[in-house]
Amino acid sequence: MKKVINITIGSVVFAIEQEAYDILVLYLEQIKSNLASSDDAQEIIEDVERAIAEKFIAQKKNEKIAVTPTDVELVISEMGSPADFGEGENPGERVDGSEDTEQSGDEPKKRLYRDTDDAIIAGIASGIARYFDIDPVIVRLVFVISIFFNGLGILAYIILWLVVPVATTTADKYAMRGERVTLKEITERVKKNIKSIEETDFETANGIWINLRNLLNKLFQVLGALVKFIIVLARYVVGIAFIVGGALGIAGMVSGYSVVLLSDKILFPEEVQIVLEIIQGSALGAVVIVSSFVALAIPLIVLIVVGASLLVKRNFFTVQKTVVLAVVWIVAVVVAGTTSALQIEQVVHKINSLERNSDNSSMEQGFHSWVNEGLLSATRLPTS
Amino acid sequence: MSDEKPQYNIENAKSQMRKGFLEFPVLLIIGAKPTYAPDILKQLKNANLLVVEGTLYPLLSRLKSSGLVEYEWQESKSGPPRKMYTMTEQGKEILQQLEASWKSLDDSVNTLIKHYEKSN
Repeated sequence: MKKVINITIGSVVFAIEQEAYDILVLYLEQIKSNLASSDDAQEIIEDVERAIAEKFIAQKKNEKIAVTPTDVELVISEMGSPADFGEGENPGERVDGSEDTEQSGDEPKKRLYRDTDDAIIAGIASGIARYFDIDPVIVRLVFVISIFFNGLGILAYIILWLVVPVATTTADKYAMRGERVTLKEITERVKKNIKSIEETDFETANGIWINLRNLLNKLFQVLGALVKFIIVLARYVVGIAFIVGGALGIAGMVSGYSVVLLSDKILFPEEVQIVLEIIQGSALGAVVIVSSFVALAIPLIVLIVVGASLLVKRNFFTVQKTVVLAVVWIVAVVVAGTTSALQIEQVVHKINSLERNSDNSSMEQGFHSWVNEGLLSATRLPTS
Repeated sequence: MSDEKPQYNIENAKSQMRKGFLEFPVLLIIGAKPTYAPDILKQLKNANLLVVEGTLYPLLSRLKSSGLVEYEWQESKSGPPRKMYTMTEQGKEILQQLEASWKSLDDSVNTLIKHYEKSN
């Protein structure tokens, strides 16, 4: 039993076995990377796809009769190796051999990936183990031990989680193992069961180590499950806190703004009343109100969306949305900053002039009270 | 990395020779009569100019973008539409120049080959 998928190639529909599809995708990807220097790469790829479609048709394949890995291999042998697609004009570019690992005799380049096929949490330990060709159990042990040194292991794990990509395609998995990506090897790999290869790797180890390893593996499984549970829990808690916090913040802002702007200002101190009067009385003031509202609201909206993203485990931030939000926010902050600076000037001006008046009046008041008190005390004296 | 001298790769040299030279035969084929890519391949193979298909598509694309050939889409009874390649006026001119240059090169190389064979 084999999994079959439908593809269109050269605008013709074919059924193709999953394994055959993987090989074909890899082949086209390699051609594409060989064509990278060419301006017409897309067109050439389309030409190649049409040629492949014609070959499949010649093999009597269609949407009912699936393309097999053997068919793909046959087509590839006719089309030639991906290196043949490279531009013949400038062979000098090949000398470094970095692009063209198939031709040079250099060791294949190894890359660090997260190995999610053999993961306890995020496949970082197994990825590192692949990179250094050691047993993942050792790397896991090092991580767990390093937790007791100020939690260094946890920090390292989180950073690696963010930085190291997952090996998703077959080509990635090859680079992770440091094996050369050739079609021959890929087909071999597809034929064999990957698991069985992995397990034979450590068969030579002695009995004690095997027992210890099994024990540790079980321990890590349990630990991993626990950590995963904590992560999920944290995700929900933080997500809900963000949404609630953001919503409360916005509600507070709306009520705060409306109370300040719409209610009678009798409750506020005199200085505040003066400031509000100036702000509400001018067109510039309206700009201050709107822009400051937007500048404060956007971070709260972002907080809510981050919370929602965490809850449903989906990123709601497209590049477009993020850019729009960021631009609007920066504009709002700048506008709010400049306009309120202008307003403050006016306010300070007004307060200064008021203070001059009130200074006079308070002096008068002081005088009156002094006189009054003097009189009072004078009148009281005889009665005592 | 060792400082070994890179070995002279004869396969690579042959394929480079063929690749660099292939434009001319392809132009000759298209110049004779408008053709599809599969027919170009067939004719190259018949002329003992063995190429894998992979080399042909970048080459055709290059000839097209330098304005030597152009193509028309042709519907196919079964399968994807095909590109029918024809020569442009510029292409015809260049082909004539290439032909003249090839003939003189052919003469020179043949003289040298004869000289080499005699000396052995």
